[in-house]
Amino acid sequence: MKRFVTVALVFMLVVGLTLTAGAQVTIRHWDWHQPRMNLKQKYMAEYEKLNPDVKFETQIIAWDDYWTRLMSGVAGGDVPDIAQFHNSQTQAFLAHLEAFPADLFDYEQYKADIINFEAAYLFDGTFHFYPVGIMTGLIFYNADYWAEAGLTEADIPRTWDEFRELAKKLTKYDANGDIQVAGFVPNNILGVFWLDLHYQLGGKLYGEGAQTVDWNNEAGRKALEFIETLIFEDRVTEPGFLSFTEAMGTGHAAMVYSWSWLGGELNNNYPDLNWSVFRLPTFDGKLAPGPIARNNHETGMAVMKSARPEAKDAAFRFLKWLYEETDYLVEVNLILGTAPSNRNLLDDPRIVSHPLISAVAEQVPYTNIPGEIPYEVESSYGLGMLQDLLFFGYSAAEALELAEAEANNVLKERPVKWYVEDLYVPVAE
Amino acid sequence: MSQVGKKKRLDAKQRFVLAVLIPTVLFFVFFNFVPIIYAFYISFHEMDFLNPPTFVGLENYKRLIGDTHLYSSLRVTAIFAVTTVFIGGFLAFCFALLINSVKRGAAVLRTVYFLPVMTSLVAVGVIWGWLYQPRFGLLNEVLKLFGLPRQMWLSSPKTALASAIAASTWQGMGYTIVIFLAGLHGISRTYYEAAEVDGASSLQKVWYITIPLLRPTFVYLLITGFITGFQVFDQLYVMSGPLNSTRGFVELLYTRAFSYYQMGRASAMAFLLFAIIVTLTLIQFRLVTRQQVEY
Repeated sequence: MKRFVTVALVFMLVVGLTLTAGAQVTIRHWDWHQPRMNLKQKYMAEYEKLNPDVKFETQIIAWDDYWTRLMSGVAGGDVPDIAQFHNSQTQAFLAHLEAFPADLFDYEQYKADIINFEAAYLFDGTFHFYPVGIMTGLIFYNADYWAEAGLTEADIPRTWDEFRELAKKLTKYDANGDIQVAGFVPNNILGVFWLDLHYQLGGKLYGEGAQTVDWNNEAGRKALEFIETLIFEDRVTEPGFLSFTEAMGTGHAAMVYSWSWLGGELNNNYPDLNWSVFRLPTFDGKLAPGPIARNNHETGMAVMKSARPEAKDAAFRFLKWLYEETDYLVEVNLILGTAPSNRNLLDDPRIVSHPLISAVAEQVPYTNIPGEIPYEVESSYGLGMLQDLLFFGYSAAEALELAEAEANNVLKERPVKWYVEDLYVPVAE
Repeated sequence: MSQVGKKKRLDAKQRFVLAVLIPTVLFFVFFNFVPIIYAFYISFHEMDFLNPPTFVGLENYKRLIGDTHLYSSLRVTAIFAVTTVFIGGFLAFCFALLINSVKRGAAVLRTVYFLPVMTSLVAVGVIWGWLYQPRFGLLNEVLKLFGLPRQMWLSSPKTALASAIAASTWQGMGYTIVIFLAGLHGISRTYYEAAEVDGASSLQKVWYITIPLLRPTFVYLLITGFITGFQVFDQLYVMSGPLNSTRGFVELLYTRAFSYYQMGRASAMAFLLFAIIVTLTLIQFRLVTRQQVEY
């Protein structure tokens, strides 16, 4: 009998071990950005070697379809275990994202290391998507035109008055007086550019509690009048000129305003273009106390609440491993044109020596994150209207009044719940 | 044995018809009918697909009444539909008459005018976007050659809709021409020969023979043109103008559904659009089918 029990126990142990050893978890992952996915796949392959029980299935879905697919996936129970996330979708998806477990991820360490961690990532004390990088608005310039005009890095303007003179100097007109090379192109991103100037003059995006926007005030009008001067008085660009990306890419702009993602766009689509970048000038030439611009975080991945239970633990273990890989965090920021959210990585030689990322890193401490901005407020019914109103004869005050009214209508329809604009702490001079 | 109660068995032909029909019917039921019923159901709910639906009664329909964006998008859609149907239809009819009279090279011509229909709408949007570009676009270069002032085309709220309609008409005209040509080929030569004997001019032949006998074609194009015109999305989405000057009804619906995640409200909009189209179609049907022409 004793012998029988022993044999049975050994048999059960062997079977159990065999089954456990053979159990394999497949983690499904979606992203919309191919270069980032390529990088992830490199690390996933490495992780698979280290953990033979884990396999990855990845899928690229274009941005335009991504959120609809994810939404219908949540409704229909067909979601990736790990989804690439973007904070513009926080309000819609937060309830469907699993909180990063505190026993695996050191919250206190993140509070110390990650810029804006509490404002941008903590919701009811937990975080649901990983902080990766920060973007902000910068001035990109055509280095060939810059050199042609006899300019060097020492000529990088620190005030908007200096910037105006430079833009005028770099504008080229043809024999008919039409602009051939615009000195500065904010076209198609004018509202976003205006918001940074609005911040510099003490304005804010939102009014009390983010129930309305707060644009049509002295700071707002002064900021828009400055842009009006650049366009109609200095003629460094004009209504109907190429968009900032097209103008920069095709050599019809000496300088453009853009968020830092433009670096990747220029490298991919216009590889022969010789460009560089500098941080935004200010009205008084100083950065502190700020904010001098808006920032937004490029978030990392999230684990879906409705992911398969067997994949959830494996997913978090993978994310823990991946986000502890300094090389991954640096490389992904270089791909995205963002400064690392982790302060400790800002001194990395690859970051410091990169002109674009170092410009972002220089500016980021003086930038503010307002929280969620509904798509419509940023585009067709809000900030996006400012350019069109200004181009078609409205005064700065009229343009702001109309855009503000439309944006407020959107906010009534779609109230903002994630609002952190007032958490900005002025930087000591 | 009694014949009563005995099941009638299908013959081979009937079984074949049934076998062929069943997949189509099932496809229609599951991919058209069920979603339509479900959309009607959620039009009475507040729903974002991420949370359980909440019954709100007629609230989504009531909110449509005070929606100023809805009125402006309906205006844009109506202008688009009327213009593409009437101006596009008139131009297509003229081209069809010309092409119908061509004896040599008709095959080449057919390919040329049908080519835009086959072209991807996004490609058309990008190409026309460049043609319309105010500073470097080809159209303004042509205007410059004639000493005419530069236009803003898609970049101005005043001209954006007209510019988008022109590009859309250009793209869709090939299809309308094909339908008109099919109608023209169905008209017997004998009517024209009789008219020629009576000394009718070309214009009189078109007015008294071609147009009356093409009435069913006109009715078909009018009704289908209005239905597709009111459902326009991609043409206006790809060639959008400033200050929402080209934002059509379906684009607004799409925004409500997939930017705001207001599925209930978007569904209510879809049924409003359905009601508008059905009403217009019935009115058109009444108006254009009163008289029948026979020679």
